[in-house]
Amino acid sequence: MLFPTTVFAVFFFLVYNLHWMLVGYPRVRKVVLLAASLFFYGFWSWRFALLLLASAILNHIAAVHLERLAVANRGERTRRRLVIFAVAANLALLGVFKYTGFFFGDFLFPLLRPICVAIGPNAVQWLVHAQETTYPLLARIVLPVGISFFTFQALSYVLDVYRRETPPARTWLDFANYLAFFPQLVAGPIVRASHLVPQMERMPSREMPIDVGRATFLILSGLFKKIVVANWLATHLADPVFSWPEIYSGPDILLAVYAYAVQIYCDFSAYSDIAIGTGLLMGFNFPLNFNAPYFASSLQDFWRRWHISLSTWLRDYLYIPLGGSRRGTKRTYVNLLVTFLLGGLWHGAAWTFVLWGAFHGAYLTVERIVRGWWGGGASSKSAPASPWRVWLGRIWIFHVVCFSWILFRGGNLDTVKAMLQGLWNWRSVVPTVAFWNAWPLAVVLVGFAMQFFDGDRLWRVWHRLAAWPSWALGATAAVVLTIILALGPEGVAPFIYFQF
Amino acid sequence: MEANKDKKQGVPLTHAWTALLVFYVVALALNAAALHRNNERLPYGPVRSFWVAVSAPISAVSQALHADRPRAVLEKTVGASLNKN
Repeated sequence: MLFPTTVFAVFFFLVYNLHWMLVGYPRVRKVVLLAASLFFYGFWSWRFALLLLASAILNHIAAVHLERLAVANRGERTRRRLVIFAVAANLALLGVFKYTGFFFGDFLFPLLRPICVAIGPNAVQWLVHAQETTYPLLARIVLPVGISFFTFQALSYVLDVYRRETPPARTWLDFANYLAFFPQLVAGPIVRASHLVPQMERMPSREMPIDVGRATFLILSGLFKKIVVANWLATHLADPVFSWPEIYSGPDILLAVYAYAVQIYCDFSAYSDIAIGTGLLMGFNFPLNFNAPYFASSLQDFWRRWHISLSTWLRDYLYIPLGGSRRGTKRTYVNLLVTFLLGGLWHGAAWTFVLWGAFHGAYLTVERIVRGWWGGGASSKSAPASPWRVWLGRIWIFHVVCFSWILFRGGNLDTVKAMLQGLWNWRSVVPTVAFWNAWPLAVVLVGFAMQFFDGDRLWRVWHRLAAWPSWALGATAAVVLTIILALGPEGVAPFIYFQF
Repeated sequence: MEANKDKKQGVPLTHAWTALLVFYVVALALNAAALHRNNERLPYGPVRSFWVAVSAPISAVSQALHADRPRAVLEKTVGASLNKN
């Protein structure tokens, strides 16, 4: 079920009313919320809803056992084995559905080909047979939507309980609601158990104030970013150029890369905004996921502003356990590279994502070295940089990130190569194709400017909206929605991050 | 100023509920015709029949009240210009 659709509008209206009508019946309310989340997820495939349920059961059993062993103050080795089993089970789930095809098709078989050729005809025949039997099986594996997101949430829960940073949820129902809560189930934010499980346990009361000003603003700005900006940039600029870069001139390719940078920001942050907004209307609070990422003046700063819930997850559950920056300079660089390589692979099972992660890891390493040379090291508290240096840094980092989006969006190395080569062609082979005119520039700039809405920059607007009479707020929101729908193209494209 | 920022911005549930109800009613009135057009484009089957049966009377009321005009005008002017290939 997609957010900007009639089906979701009807679904949300029913769930919202049931959720608030059942305040006096907390258990029934929790069951209804879980049923609604499973229905939302099962709209793609009911089998995947069962998979989500199985994940909820397995992880909660593991967490409860970890806590029991900790309370009894015995069996540290058993606790360790149990957490390893739970982590392995979660990673196996992700591995089977997401990485099996990549492992066989892009790694193992290409690796075996030259070896089998060197061994002889029998080995080649065996490999051909292995490929013929494996590929049809691989084609049958369908990636469950949002599996990377809910698996990471489940992992954080089990690991936090193991580290005694959070207790297990009081009941399985509370944990299942945390894992499957429909607003953020499919594309984040990746919410920590310590943040959302307590909210699921106590459930919002009728006396709780609803942050309706912020919710309205986030939902409408999210819909605008997705329906008008992201969809337009995808269909008019990014998709045509990335699918056939050879026919476009350098300036057009450059504009398409800018367009993709704005498209992916508008697309992904739109989902987060709508998720946070719908969560607020239901009385739940989610953490911030984007904070004007293209205003970052260093790549480290970029990762503090882009997909914050993923970057903090990778920091807390991968980078720091690997040793972080505590084990010497060289080890820090290795840890950064490993973290971003795996972060790249989290986004998708393709070599381009691995390259994208490697690029970010390598650049962050270089950035750390250069910062060390300029004085003070990573934790430098030197005088603040001058404004022109900050702005130069912002422009440079925006272009570094844009370059990395070519790897991210390319899909295969041939497209990446064609895009990079095409950047140096001044003229297109088809003279009629030219993107540099008013509409493309306007939409790219408007999408870029949407970053001013991130974080709590417009908290005064939320305050004012909340102070409006309810009928005026509802009617105005409906008028704004109508304008958004009228400006957007027909049909609804899925969010980019659904595939991850 | 920071103190203002930290203040609770929430409103009572009834206020939020009324705003949501008004939003749904007005949004439905303004977009009913477009919604009905979309439903008619669904693949033939019970799902299409259901949604068309639901949206047809709402669309008729919306058209009788001319509530569909603002969206139609916007689509024909800015929307068409923006989305032409």
